[in-house]
Amino acid sequence: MVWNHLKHIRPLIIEDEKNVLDALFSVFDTTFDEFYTARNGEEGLYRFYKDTPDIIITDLQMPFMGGFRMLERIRMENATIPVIIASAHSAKEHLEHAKELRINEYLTKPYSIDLLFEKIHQCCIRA
Amino acid sequence: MLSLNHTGSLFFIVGLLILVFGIMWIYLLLKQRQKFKQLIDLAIEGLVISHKGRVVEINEQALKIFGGEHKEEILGKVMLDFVSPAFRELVKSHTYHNTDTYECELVRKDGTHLPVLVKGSIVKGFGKTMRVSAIVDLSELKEAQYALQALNENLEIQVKAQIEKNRQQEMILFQQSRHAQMGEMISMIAHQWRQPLNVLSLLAQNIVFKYKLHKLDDVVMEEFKSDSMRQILQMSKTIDDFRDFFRPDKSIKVFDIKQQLSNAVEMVKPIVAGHGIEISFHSEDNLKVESFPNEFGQSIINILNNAKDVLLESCGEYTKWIRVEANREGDGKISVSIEDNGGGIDALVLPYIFEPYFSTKGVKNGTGLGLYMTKIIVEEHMQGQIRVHNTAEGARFEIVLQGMM
Repeated sequence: MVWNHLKHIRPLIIEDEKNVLDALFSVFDTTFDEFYTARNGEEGLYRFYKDTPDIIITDLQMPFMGGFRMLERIRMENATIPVIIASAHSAKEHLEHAKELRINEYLTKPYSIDLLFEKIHQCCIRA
Repeated sequence: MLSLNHTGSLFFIVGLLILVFGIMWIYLLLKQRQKFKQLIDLAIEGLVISHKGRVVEINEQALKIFGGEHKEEILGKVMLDFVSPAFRELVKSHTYHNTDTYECELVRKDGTHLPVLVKGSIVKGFGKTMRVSAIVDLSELKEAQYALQALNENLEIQVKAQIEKNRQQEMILFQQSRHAQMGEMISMIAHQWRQPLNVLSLLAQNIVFKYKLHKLDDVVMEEFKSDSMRQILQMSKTIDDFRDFFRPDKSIKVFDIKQQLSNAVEMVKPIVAGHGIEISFHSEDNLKVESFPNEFGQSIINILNNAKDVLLESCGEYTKWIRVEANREGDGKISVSIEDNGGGIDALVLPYIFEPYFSTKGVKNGTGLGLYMTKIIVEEHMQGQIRVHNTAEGARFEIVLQGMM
């Protein structure tokens, strides 16, 4: 599937593992005209304020500031921005917390990029 | 006449007196003899008085030893008849002089043999030479001795059996702890593999994306190959590292504490960090120890996993951490400490944490062998010491090892 219609969406990807981020970068580069990356929650927060992305895709377990801490801060600011969590931990452990923060989707690593793009599509069309 | 009569009556009186005294004397003698009989009956040992090899007197105790009921059964009999044939020569040779105590064997009335202790002495009286033999029954003592000997032998067998049982028990414990460790190892490898698997999944999907967009060229393909291979080699190395680390290696090697600690920390890092626990490691350089590197590393992993489990159970929003440190101490000793801020160990539980099958984690998560094995490794295999105490925030394990100068 080719996601030409996603071109104009500007996602923010937050991922602490360099190899994963590199691979994601390459994939996102072929699909989106503009997107932002961050290596931890703190950087993610900075990008959120600076670039006002359309959707946030974040890891949970990160140094300095974890995904949930960052999302709590973001939700204070913006209650509607779509958020997709992509974590190695199963959704079960974090279901409560994710619900509280109105997380749109939860993907467990490794995940299908097609599925991720489909979710991005769904979230952004709905929004 | 008168004088004759007088002399006659004098003789008569003297004769009477002699008679009276004689009777009195005989009476006293009889009394004496009775007293003597009573006295010998009171003796604890058996006493036999003999004359010319025949029994003339015997006390109650001796009668009991011979198994007789009436003294008449024995009185007048030949002494040697009561000695078992094997000892007759020995007894004969002792018959005519005083002897020290010696052991021999007698025959009871019913023909059974019994071991006794005998002491004989010659007593002269009434113009007769009498022999007094004191006899002590040794059968009970001997029996007790045999029983004791049997008990001792039995005890030895029992002790040996117990030792063997303990050894087997310990082997079973080691086996069980190895199984538990296998489980830990798999879980650690799984965590180590998560990232590279995730990367590989993205790389594979990326190449399909590029293909569909007609953006596949030599550069992309080369990149894909080298990126994938890097991940695959890393995964392969992880397996090798773990296999080396958990191999039961019984050879003593000189190894660097810092290196081995760093290996252990790296192995648990993905799991520990995956739960948001910070793990830090500081060590002095060149801390050389001559011992079992793998066992040491495994015992460190045991403690680290324990700290992790405790931190996971502890509630509350705070930065959880584990600190691993290694320092040189006096006398060439090396101190390794592992500290966490998980609230410490309950004082009730503290004395038991190194005991086998003791676990606070419940059957599902703990075998109760981790810290026990750690203690065995450190104290028995490595001749070190392991201590634990609570700090303000948590628990601190300290291992002291003899370093190489």
